[in-house]
Amino acid sequence: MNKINSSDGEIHLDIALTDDLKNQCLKYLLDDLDSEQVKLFEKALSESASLGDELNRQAEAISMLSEIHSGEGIPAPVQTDSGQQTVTLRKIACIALAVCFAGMMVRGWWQTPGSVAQSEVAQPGIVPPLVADNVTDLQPVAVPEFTLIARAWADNQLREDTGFQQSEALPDTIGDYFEETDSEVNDISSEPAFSWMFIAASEIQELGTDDG
Amino acid sequence: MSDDRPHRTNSETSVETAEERAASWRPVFENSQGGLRAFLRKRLPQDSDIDDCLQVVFVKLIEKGDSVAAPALKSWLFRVAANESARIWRSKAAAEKMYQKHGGTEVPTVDPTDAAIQAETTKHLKQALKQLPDAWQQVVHLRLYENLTFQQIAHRLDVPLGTALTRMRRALERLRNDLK
Repeated sequence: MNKINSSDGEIHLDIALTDDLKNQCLKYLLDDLDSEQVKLFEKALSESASLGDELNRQAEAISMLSEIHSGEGIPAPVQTDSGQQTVTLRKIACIALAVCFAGMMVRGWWQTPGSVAQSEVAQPGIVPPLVADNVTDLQPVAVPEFTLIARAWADNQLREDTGFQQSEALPDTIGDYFEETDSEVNDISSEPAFSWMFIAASEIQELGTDDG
Repeated sequence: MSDDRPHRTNSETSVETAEERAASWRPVFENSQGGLRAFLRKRLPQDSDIDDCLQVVFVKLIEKGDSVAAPALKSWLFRVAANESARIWRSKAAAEKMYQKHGGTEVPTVDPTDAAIQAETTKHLKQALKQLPDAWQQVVHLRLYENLTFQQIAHRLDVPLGTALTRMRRALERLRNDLK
């Protein structure tokens, strides 16, 4: 209860306007109270000036709102929020999809040999990616042509050197060759470097036998 | 209250007599009369003034009741009662002055600028309404323009009843403050 000084100097007791009472006011004006609640409210209304003032304020606002009526400018209820959320989610999904697509495009461009060579030239400090080939397990993708030529020449030389060493060792191990299986002999004779050595060794052995 | 309100077409209205109109609106008025009397008791000192005021309210209901939206009819009645009680106070005060000065001439109560003020107020009210939070606008829309009860609104919006009530009340308070 609130104390109110009236104009005649007397002190009157008035009820405190709580939120609940204000809500009751609203429900009363909009016929949302049952008959028992209406009686109680009207009794309070006849005793409280502040409740009457609150009722009057709410009645004025409701009347003004009803006069502009037709709901123009007021958004349609309930569906509004979910509709906006759906639109927002669609936008986010589109942006995410576009970013993913752009990422895939950039990645694809980056992995093409031409583009890697370009990037290697542009950024010499960066180690190029490794890919497998037939010669070695892993090699840089962008190998200069002169390097390939040099590697081929070196491989060739290595094969020639190996064949020469074997032919030099042949006289010491020549007996072993005849003890090998036919298939292995055939494999050895298939090499052009071994074919003339095989013939020569056979001739030498025959000559030795004749001498003995 | 809205269920008691008579529904008439224009053609029916045109042939309807004043007595028939009064009879059709009588239940609506009587349904609110107790509350109006309780409301006026703190505003007018004499019972005769309250009776006079209620009589004016009833006459205005017969004249303009059709133009008021059903959910706002009770509010409209209280507003008319409040305005009429204020007019009675002004009339009394003016009458006393008139009697003191000239021996009594009725003071004109109709202000020619009222219509312009009303139009301007409506314009500002629409703007203020659009600036309310969406959740508040939804409750106002559902209660005043779709005539749902607060319980139905709470169910529709999936909020507690108190929340629906508070949103409506705060919307009204905000609008009132914006118009000051």
